[in-house]
Amino acid sequence: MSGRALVAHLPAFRLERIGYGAEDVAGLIDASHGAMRLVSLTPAGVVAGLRVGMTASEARAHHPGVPLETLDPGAEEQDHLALLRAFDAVSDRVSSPWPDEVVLDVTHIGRLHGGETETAERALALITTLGHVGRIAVADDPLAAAALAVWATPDGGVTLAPPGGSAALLAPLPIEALRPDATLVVALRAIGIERVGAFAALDPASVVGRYGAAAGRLHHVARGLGAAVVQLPASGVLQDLPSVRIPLAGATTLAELQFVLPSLIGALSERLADRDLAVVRLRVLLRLESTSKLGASPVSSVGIRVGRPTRAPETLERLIRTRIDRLEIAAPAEELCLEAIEAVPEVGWQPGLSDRSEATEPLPDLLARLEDHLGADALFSVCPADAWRPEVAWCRAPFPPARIRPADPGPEAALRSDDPLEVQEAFEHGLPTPRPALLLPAPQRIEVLGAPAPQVVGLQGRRFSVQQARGPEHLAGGWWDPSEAFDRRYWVVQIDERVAWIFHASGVWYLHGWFD
Amino acid sequence: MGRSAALQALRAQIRALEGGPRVQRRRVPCGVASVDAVIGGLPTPGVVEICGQAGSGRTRLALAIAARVTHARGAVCWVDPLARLYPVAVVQHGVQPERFLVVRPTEDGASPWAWATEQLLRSGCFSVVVVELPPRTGSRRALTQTWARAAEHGHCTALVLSHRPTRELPADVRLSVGGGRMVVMRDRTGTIGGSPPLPDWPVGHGPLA
Repeated sequence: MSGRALVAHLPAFRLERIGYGAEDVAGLIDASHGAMRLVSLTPAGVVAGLRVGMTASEARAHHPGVPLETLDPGAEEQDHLALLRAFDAVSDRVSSPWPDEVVLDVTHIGRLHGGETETAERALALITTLGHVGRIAVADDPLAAAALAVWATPDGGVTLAPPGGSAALLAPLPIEALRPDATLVVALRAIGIERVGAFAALDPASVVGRYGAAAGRLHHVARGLGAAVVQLPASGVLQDLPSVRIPLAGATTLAELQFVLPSLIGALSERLADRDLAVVRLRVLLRLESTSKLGASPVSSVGIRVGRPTRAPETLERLIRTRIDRLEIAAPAEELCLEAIEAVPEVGWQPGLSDRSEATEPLPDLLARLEDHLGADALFSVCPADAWRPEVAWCRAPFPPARIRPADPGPEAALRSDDPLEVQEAFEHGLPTPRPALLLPAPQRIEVLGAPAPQVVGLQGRRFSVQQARGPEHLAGGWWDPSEAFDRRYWVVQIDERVAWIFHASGVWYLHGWFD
Repeated sequence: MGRSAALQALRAQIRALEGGPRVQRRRVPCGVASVDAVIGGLPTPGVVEICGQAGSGRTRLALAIAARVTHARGAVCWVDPLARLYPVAVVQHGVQPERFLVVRPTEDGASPWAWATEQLLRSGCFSVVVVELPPRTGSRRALTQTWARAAEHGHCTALVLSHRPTRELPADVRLSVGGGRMVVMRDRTGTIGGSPPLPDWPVGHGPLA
C-alpha cells in the first residue's frame, strides 16, 4: 500500500494574516529588480486582473485604489511557523514546501481521527478556526494532492483521491498543475500535450530519456503512482526565509564588504536563533549597480557549505571570510545579502571519543572549509578496489566514514591459523605482492637494456646499472574493451640504492612508481 | 656570542615580553621502534623533516608512522600535491583508512596545498600531518615557518617529506633516508648521527625479496 499525503491550500494566507479577506482585492509588494513588485495576491485580486510580478504603479493603474502592503519577511515567517505548529494536531509529519500550501503525511493515521474524510475535515476546521480560507486534498503523492487542492477543489472544499485513483482526477487538469519547470511546459506544448492525462499516456522510458529524471518523476505522479512512504518535500519556506541584507551605497572594495560582515552575520544568527535553526548551506549575494538602465542588477554570488550545522557567528564569520574574496566586484555594489539556503533544527554537537582535545576547530567544519577551497574531490579516504590495472586498483571513499570497521587482523593472523585452508588462502590472496608507495600520475617512458631481466636503466639522462631485479609480474586485462586493454610485465629493480617499479608493454619500457 | 645563541636569547626576550605561555614540547613515542630509539619519538608539537630521493624509503618511514598512529586511534592527514601517493600501498602498510585523510588539491591557484597544510596543522584535528614538498617550491622560508607555528598552535606533528634538506625549515628533527637506513642530521634536543635501519616492509617481505 502506498503512502497518503494531505495538502492544505491556503490561497490568501499571506494577505489574510495582515487583515485582508480572500474576497478583497489586495496585494503584497516587495523590492525586486529595481522596483516594488507584486509578490502575492488574493484570489479576488487575480480575478480583478492583477498578476504577480507587476510593479506597484502598474497595479494601481490597472486597479485604482488597490491596497498594496509591503512584505515583512520576519513577521510572515513567524506566522507561517505558527500555522505549521497548529497542524501538528493533525499529523506529526508536516512540511511547507510551497508558500501557500502545507503538506501532511497522513499514512495510517486515518483511524486516529475516524477515517481519511474525518482527518481532512479536521484539517479544514483548523484552517477555518484560524481565520483562513482553505482547500484540502488527499492523494497518494504530495504533488498530486497539491494539484488537486489548487486546481480541482473549491474554497472550503475537500477532494479525496482513493488509493491508486489519482490519475483519473488529475487527467483533466492543465499540465501546469504538476508544477513543471518552464522548459518542460514549452517542450510538452510543442508536441501538443496540454493536459495531465495526455502527459500520463506517454511512454515512461521516453519521458525520462527525452526530458530527464525530473520529468520522469512528474510522469510517475501523473499516472497516479505513489510511494510506499510519503516523501515530504523539503520546507522551502523555512529554508528561504533566514536571509539578511544590508545596503552598501556603491562599495567597490573587499574591505568595505568585510567591514559590514560581522553585523550582517550577527543578524542572520539572531534570525536563525529565533526559529531554533542551524544553517547547513548559505549563499553570499552581492548585488551590483546595473550598467544599463533597462537591465536587471547583476549579481555576484558564492555558495558556502557548513560542515557541522551551526548558527555561531564566529564560525560563520570564519567560513565566510575565507570565501568572500571570490565575489567579483565588477561594478559598485548596491547590496550585500546572506541567504541560508538549507537549515536544520539546532541539536548541538557532541565531540566523538576520538576527537582530539587540542582541536581548535571541529573536524566537519575544517573539512567543509577545505572542500570549498580545494574542490569536492580533493579530500578523500582510500579504499582498495577489485581491479588488476594498478591505476584503478583503488577508489576514493568519504572521510570520515559513516561507520568505523573493526580492524582487519591482517594476513599474518591467517597464516598462524590452525585451518590449512585459511593458511592456503592467505598465501594466495592475503599476502599480495608489495606495491610502490609512489605511483606516477602517468607512466614515464624510459630506456632499458637487457632481456628478459633489465640490466641497465636510463633515467633523466643518466644510465644506472641494475643492482637487483625481481620479476616479471604479468598484469593484463580489459581485453574485451580496446580502450581499457592492457598487458604489462612489471619488474622491481634496484638502481642507485633506490627501488623502482617498471614495466614492459608493446616493446616499450615505462617507469611507473617508486618503492619509496 | 654566536649567531644562533644570540637568536635564542632574542627569542627568549620576546617570549618574556609577550608573556605568553611557553609551549611544552614532548617526544611522543610513535610505535616505530627505530624512530623511537633514535630520537625518542615524534616531537609534539613540532616539525620532522624526512629527506631523501624518490625511492629512498622516506614514504615507507612516514607510512609506518601513520600506521602506528592510526592503530593508536590517532588521525593522520597526508597532503599530496604531486598526486602520487599510491593508496594500495597505504593499505598494504597497515594504515587504517578510517583515520587516514588524503588531501590532493585539484584547483589551480597559488599553492593551495600549502594553505591546506597550514589549516590542517592549525586545526589540531590530526595527530600527524604529512606533506610531500614539491621539488621546486618558492619562498620555502615563509612557508615552513608558517607551518611550524601552525603545528605549535594545533599541538600536532608535521612530517615534511623533501627531496633534499630544507635549511630554512625550522625542523626539530631532520632525518636523511637512503640505502635502507636513516641518519639523524639534526635534533634540537638529542644527538645526531645515529643510523638505524628503516622499518621492515609491511607485507612480510620486501619488493626484492
